[in-house]
Amino acid sequence: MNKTLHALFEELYQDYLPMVRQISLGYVRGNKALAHDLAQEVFVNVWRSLAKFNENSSHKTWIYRITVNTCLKNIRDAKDEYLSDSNVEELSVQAPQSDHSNDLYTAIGKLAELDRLIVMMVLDEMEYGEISHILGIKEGALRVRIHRAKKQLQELLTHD
Amino acid sequence: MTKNESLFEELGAQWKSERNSKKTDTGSAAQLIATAQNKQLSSVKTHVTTIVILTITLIAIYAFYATIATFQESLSIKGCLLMAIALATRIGLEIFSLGLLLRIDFTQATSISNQRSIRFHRLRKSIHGPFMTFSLTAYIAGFFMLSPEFSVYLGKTTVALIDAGFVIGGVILIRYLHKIVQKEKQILVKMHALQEALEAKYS
Repeated sequence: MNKTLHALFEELYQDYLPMVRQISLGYVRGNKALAHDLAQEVFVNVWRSLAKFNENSSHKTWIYRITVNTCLKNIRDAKDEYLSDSNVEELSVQAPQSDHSNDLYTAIGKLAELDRLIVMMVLDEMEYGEISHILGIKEGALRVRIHRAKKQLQELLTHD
Repeated sequence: MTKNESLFEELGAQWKSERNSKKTDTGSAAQLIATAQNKQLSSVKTHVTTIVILTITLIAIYAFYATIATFQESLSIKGCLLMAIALATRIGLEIFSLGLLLRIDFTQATSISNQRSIRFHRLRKSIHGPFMTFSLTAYIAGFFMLSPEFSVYLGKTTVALIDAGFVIGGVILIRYLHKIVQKEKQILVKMHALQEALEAKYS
C-alpha cells in the first residue's frame, strides 16, 4: 500500500509540479523563492492527504483544491505582510522572466487573493463547475466574480 | 468576441506557453516525502506538547500535595482543588482544540476548510483570552489559598516572596498572551473576509 502511495505521489509530483509552481508564482506575485516554498508546502499537503484520495474527483481538481487552500492559508500567516501592494513592483523585478510574463504576474498579483486564484484557474481553462466545486461557491456567484476579475485584470494590464 | 474576451484568450495562451517553456527542476519526490514525514504539523506538535506539559504538571501537583506536603487546613485543600480544576479545564480545552485542528482538511472545498479554520482560531482566541484569564485567576487564587499553611513551615517572608513571584509571572504571561490574542484576532479578520468573499451573493 505504502509503495503504491509512493508511486502515485511520484506520478502526481512529476505531472502537476509545473502547474502548482505556476499557480504559486502567480499567487505570490512573481516571487520565485516564495513560490518554490509554497509549491513544496502544497506537495507536503498532497502527501499527507494522499491516503484519503478517492476517485470521485480527478487528480487535477484534487491537487487544485489543495493548492488553493494552501495558498489561502498563507494569507493568514505573516508572509502576506511581505506581499503588501507596495512590494509588488519590487518583487516582480526579482523574477528573471520575460517582460510579458512579468506584467501578467504583476497584474494578477494586484487582484484580491481569491480573485488571483480564480483568474489563474480560468487561464488554466478549468470548467466553471469545477472551479465552483473547488471553492465551494455557487456557479452563478462565480460567474459574476470572474467577470469582474477579468475586467479588473484588463484595466490593470492596459493602464500599467 | 468582445475586447475583454480576446484579451483573456491571449492571456490564456501566454499562460500556457509560460508553463510549457519552463524547464522546471522537479527535484526528488522521495526527498519531499521524507520532508513531509519528518515535518509533522507543527501546530499539532505544539498542542500535544502543551497537553503533555499540563498533564505532567497536574500529576506533579497532585503527587506533591498528596504525598510530600499533605495539607491539614480545608482552605489549603480547596486551594489545591482550585489549581487542579484550572489545569484540568485547560487540558480539556487543548484536547478539544486539537480535535478542531485535525478536522481542518485541505482536500475539502475552500469554503468548508475555511469555516473549520475559523472555528479553530475562534477557540484559540478564547483559550488565550477569557478562558486563560479564568484559569490563571483560579490557579493564582488557589496558590494564594495555600499561603497561610505554607507560612507555618516556610516563614511569612519566604511565602510573601513566592506569592509576589507568582503575581509577576502571571502579569508577564498575561502580557505575552495579549499579543497572541491580537495575532489570533488579525487571523480571524482575514479569514472572515475570505469567507464573506466566498459567500457573497451577487444580483
